[in-house]
Amino acid sequence: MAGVIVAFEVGLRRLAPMPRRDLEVDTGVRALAAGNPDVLVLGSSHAGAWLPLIDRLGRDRVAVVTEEGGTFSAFDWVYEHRLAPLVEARDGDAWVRDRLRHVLLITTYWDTCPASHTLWEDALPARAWQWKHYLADVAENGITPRNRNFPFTAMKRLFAESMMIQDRGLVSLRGQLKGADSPDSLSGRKAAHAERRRREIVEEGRTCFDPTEQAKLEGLVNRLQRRGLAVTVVAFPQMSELLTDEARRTTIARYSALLADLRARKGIRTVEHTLTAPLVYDDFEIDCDHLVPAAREKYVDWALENGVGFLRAPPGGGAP
Amino acid sequence: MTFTSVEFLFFWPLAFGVYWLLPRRAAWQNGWLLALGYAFYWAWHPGMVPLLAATTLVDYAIGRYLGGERPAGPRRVALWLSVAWNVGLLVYFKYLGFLAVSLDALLTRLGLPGSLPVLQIALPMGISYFTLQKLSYVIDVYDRRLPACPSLPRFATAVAFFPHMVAGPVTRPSALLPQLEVPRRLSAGDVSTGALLFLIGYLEKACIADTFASTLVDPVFARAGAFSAGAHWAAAFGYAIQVFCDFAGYSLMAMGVARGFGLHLPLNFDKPFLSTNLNEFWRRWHISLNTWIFEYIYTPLTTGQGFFRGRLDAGFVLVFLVSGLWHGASWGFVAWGLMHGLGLVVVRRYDEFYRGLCRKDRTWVARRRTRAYKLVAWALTTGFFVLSLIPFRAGSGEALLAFLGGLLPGHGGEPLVLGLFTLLTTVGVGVGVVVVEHLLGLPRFAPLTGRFFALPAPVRGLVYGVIIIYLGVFVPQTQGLFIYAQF
Repeated sequence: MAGVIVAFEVGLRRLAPMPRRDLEVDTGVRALAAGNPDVLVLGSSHAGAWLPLIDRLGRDRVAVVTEEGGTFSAFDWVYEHRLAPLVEARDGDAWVRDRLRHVLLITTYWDTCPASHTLWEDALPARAWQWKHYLADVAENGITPRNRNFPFTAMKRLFAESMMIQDRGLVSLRGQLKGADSPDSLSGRKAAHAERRRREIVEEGRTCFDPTEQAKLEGLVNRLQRRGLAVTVVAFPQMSELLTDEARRTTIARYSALLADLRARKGIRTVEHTLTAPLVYDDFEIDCDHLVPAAREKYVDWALENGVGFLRAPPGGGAP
Repeated sequence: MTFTSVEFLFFWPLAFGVYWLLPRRAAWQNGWLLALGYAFYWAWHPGMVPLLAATTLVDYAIGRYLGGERPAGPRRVALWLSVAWNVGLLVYFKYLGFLAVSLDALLTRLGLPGSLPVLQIALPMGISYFTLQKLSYVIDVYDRRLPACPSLPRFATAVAFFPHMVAGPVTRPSALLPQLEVPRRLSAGDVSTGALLFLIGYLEKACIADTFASTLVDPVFARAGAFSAGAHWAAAFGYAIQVFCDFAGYSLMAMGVARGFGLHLPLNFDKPFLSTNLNEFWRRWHISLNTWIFEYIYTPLTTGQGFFRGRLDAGFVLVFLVSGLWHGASWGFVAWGLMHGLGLVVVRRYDEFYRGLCRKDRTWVARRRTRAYKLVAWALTTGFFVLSLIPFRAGSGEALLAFLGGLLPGHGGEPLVLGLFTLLTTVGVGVGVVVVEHLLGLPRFAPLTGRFFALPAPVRGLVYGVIIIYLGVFVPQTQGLFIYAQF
């Protein structure tokens, strides 16, 4: 029986690629737990573009925590439940992670969208929960469609090498057979995504800037500052050709103003990359939102010269 | 949590592993099963756990009272107390809303002021099942057919045994309590049989019932009357297969899980689509419920001293009305029950008439044994069952009439388009599995089962591997609710 299943798995692997796995909160948390970095990068899936920073500064200096589908509320949850126990851990009077100096929050206007729009709460069990969070939620609410996301993800992680589990219904294989990965198909899909995103940036922008989300960002900044950390909020690049005049005038300008206001009031550093990063159409993935691996390298190298160069300074010892 | 939900993938290994690592003592094993049962219930609705505990305590106490030497009068009072308690809870949780809505509609129709409050009461999971189990325990103890269970944890374990708690089989405590009295031993036979039962059940539920629902049944019932007559007939037969695979699949999985703990649950389905009359059908379909109803309602009624004494036809109609209502609080279920009650009356009357013919002329006996007679009888029985499921599924009188109209040629006309891939992987496999399963029940093909198990292990492993691959590839991402878990 096992032989048949293994043979089938091997056959599938030869026919179609394993679907790409998202970066999860756990990956970054494990890096933080295992070391004593001086830079913590936190954000939604966009923060994944900062992974090359690990190579640039050194594995022992950087931890990157990405919360897929996250918004400021999600970042706040992740910090409170997953990161604070490590970041704020004490050994007597000293911080356990005493080298930690900088926190980079990788953001876009999207992170201010209300929960009803982003559904971050539904994504959280899959992206950031541990068994203890799941069991506590089941104890309180019973099994719900929301908390079911956690065991689904746990199952996928448990069978991480199984195509049958990772590619249920053989979607990837069927796509392959239908030529979904052909250059023509990819460029067509990207154009469709571009059109959708062009509209979304304008239309979603109107529903964002939710006061609750803004308060979460401010609360997170306060807490990080209380810990003595230097907070830098980075506005992640957008594909500039998707930004209509209206989008620039409304959504983008408003988000920029929000960061400026926060900088003025909290004394944090803000880095505006929305329009300034030298990224072109091909640097973006098919979703026109995230960066392809090569572009991540290009972007981080550029960022280290434009706004976050202070990270190059070697970490100092002792508690800040 | 159900057997096909992702939570069970984590729940089951923990449940199974700890169970067999515990000291081999009945008390330890029962204690763990009890904890699992309550965890299972808690996962469904934490607020209903006290209800399960309270109903268990009440019936345990009444059972202990009935088990002692007491005068007949107080014993009878205690029995009726338990019946009232159990039936009362069932009525409160399951039927109060239905009764209020029906009464309201009646008052409105009579021109009287209605507007009774609409009750939104959550139906406790498995209440229809554990109510019957506890009632049979109390009645058996009252009749001295079963000694009262001296151990509360053991009794509570039998009530809250999670494999049968949600959707049966209606396992009577008289069948389960003796098994819980002794320590269970881990046996390779139990584990492999359990795994096989679970695998077949999973195939029936997740791959056949759920896909039939989404591809063939739900689209047509959702827009009854819009599709062609062929699509309506396909949906009607598809629903019969869906219900069978859903419930028989669940029952097999329950038996398989229980077998993993070294416990045996009764067979609930015995190839019902081989039946050549309704009597036989109800001896093969949802066996545990029907034996319960006939043993605890029909027989006492028709052999007792009351109105129903000797009135077998009235008894049939009554018990199937009860069965319909047991399935759900709606007029569709009542209609379904009434159809089957009347159907059984017709079958009984026909049987008497035919026996009369046989007494006069023995050639009628031979005619009944011919293939043609059996084929017609089978077609009538199956056809009647399929048609009776339409009110069961329709949801409203309007939808029922639209669907029945759609069965006739000339209505609607929109074809139900299924791709070749769907047709082969869902409809083809589903029908194939059900047909093969039933054929193996025929004397001619029955030896094939034995021959399969006599095959070398690698060959059997190959078959199991193919089934697992099929499940892995085609099982829907979102698990469907078990139809009978809603009753």
